[in-house]
Amino acid sequence: MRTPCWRFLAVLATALLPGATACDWETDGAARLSEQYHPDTGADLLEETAPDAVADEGVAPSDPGETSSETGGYDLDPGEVTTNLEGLWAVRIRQLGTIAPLSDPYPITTPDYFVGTVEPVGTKMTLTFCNEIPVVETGDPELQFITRIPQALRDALAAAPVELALGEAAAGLPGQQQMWTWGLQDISRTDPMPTEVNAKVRDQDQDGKPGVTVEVDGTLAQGKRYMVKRVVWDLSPGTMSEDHLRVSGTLTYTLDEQPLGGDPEYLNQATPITPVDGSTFLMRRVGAMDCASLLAHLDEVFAD
Amino acid sequence: MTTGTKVLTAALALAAMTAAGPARAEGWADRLSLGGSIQSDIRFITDDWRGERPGEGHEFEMNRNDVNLRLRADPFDNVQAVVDTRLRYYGFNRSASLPELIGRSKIDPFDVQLNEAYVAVRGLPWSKMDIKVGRMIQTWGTADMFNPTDNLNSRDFSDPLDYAGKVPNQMLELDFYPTDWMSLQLVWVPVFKPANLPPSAVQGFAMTYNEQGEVTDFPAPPLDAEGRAALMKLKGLLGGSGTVAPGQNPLKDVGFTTPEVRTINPKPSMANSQFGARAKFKAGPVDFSLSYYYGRFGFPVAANAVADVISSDNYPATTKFVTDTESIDTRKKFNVRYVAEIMYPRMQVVGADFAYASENQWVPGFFAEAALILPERVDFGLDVFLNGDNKVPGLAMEQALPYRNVNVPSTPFIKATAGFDWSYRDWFYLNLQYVRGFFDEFNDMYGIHNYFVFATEAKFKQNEVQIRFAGALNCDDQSAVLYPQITWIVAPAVELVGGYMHFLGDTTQKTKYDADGNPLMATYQGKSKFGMKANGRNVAFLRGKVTF
Repeated sequence: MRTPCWRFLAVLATALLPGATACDWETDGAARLSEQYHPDTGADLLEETAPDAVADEGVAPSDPGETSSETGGYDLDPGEVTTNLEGLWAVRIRQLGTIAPLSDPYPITTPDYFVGTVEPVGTKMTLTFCNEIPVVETGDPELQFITRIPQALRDALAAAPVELALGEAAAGLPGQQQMWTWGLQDISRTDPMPTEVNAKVRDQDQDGKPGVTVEVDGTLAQGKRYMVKRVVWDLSPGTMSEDHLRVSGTLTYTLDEQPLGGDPEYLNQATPITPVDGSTFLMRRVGAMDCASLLAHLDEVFAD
Repeated sequence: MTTGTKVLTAALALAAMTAAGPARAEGWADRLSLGGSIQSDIRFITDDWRGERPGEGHEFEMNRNDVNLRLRADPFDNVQAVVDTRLRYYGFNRSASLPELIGRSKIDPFDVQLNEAYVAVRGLPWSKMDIKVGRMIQTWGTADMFNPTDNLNSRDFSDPLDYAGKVPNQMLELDFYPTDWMSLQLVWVPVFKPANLPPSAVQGFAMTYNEQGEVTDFPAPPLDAEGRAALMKLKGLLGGSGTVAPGQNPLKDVGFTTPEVRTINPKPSMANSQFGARAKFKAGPVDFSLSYYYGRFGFPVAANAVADVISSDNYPATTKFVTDTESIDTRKKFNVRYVAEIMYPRMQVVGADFAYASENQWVPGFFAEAALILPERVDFGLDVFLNGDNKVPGLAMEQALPYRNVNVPSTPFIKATAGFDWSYRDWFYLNLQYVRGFFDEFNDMYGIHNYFVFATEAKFKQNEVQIRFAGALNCDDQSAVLYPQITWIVAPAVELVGGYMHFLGDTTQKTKYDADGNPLMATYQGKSKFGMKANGRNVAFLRGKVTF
């Protein structure tokens, strides 16, 4: 049982001991497994780096040729595959970081899911937002921090697609920086974030609240937070698998979130996320896919 | 003993003899003293539900016959050498084949242990300084046994009835006494030695069996919700579904090899040596100290696990596990081999303790001890193989395999003990302590728990008969251990002790249920501290001891 009192004492004692750190010691049990049983991948290989074989084999019960009628389009089989990026893609951009909603920093994984389209001989990939499903690992099932994206915000973000630049004739995904904002307008990558409602803030989900509204759930707090957000991704060049079905790579990112209100009011507080190494993106070429079907089959779509 | 320590020991002994030569005594016999004890201990298991399989028990657990000898030599006024050994004969025959009946080592097994062997030199090279070199046991802190600042020697829990034992280790100790109210101690321990665990420790990683000898569950590793869900899916794959129908064992047709737990031992390098410093102060009736330790936690922490599965549709194509070359049992639908690794995380410990002793017999003595522990972060890894491949139907996860989650965060945490003891003449003794963080807790996914520990003793007939009752309660899961015993002092230095140790709590890890009532994977946090089988059996014991 980790009581706030003991946590406070530990933090206080640490603060009173300048330089008292654990020397950045770390043992990674998973890396040892990679060393011992995955010699081909190597311990430091990122999880999403270009698998040679598509994971359809042995993966959950989805018939590549099957189309789900109730979701309006679900087909993992892209049919005849081109060597460039032309076509339809399921996209996941997974950002790793730490978050300290109390005093302890917890690992947080924030995957953003999109449906990407590349027109024939296009020069850009248009990413239509589907959802963001952050997961905070507190290590304690009794202590949960959950953030949900309401449908109104999903729709509003989907209406403003993110566009990634592609190589000539959509031959590949070059390395690039990409800014993505929630509830903001007329703002650059370096402008200070608005701390109150001003001309840079817009009610993007049109619910009458400043910025955008996200739902907060969990052990300690439930309600709504009104906020704005700016994330700048620095994407590595994408690596296409030999069968041209997947594009993968890594990214670093900066994230600014500014709360502008809360219901209850105590949710109007910043909980910064500190990026850590290991963020990745993965694009999978699909035959038919919309947001509903993508979100219903995340495990299968992004299976290794 | 390492070569370096040998050289250092010889050099110090030589220096001491040279410097102290003129003070040498006339007769060596006056400079030697020999003490020790002879002890015999027999234990009987009183339960039949805390063993590996239901129904095992109601039999003798162990018989130990010890000869402890402690030789102390004072060859010079300022030099002292101590050797403390133990010869132990185990009362059980271990022979299992005809050739083993030829020698005595299997029929009458024994071992010899060197508890301490050191040389102490006082007043050199400075009059207010002592040096000790050799194999030693250090005790830091003012609390009674539960000393979170005491980390130089790992614990020896090979005897489940003895919480005070420690694993001796080679070290160099420098003591300084600049004033009569302050002393400073520096200790360097070149090589790390882990804790000695009780025989029941393997139960912490054991499968759960039913009365038919079939495996019914896996040990719960330190996984978060997604990791547990993955193992639950694997269990469903092996059993045909993710749920368990009442009265049925879905794992009936699954063959499990005995889980293997490997230890990741630190290399004997300088970087892995340990260091401790302590300043002790005395102010009237109060003793207090500040301490620092740099080293490793003596109890192992789970680092990773592999579930290595081979299915019958792959026989005979795959006859070897990924994790080993052990052959599979082709009569089973699935064969599973579970391999785990444990390690000893590094840590820094900043400690403080005090003890207050009053001269008023009605005022109890108070003590408190706290340690701020800055731990090494440990990420737990989980891997699953089916027929040598990570592609397991239905096991699609957000993370690719090997799965990873934090087991020990790098966040500093506190272990502490506070309590009092009080005695009325020689008749009655009471000790009560609050303990935050048991010996083996390191803020992994199990967390740091809170305990009350007590011991009370009453003596009768001029101390000839002593009744003692001790125990501990885990305030977080309400599990407990009770330990009553009665001692009869048959003659001076001769005692007979009878007692009993009983554990209260769930023997299985708590399983959580989903909204539909289906069992979810048992959680690592759900372990009952004293209920776990890894603590050992409920035993009654009889012990005789002669001290000389």
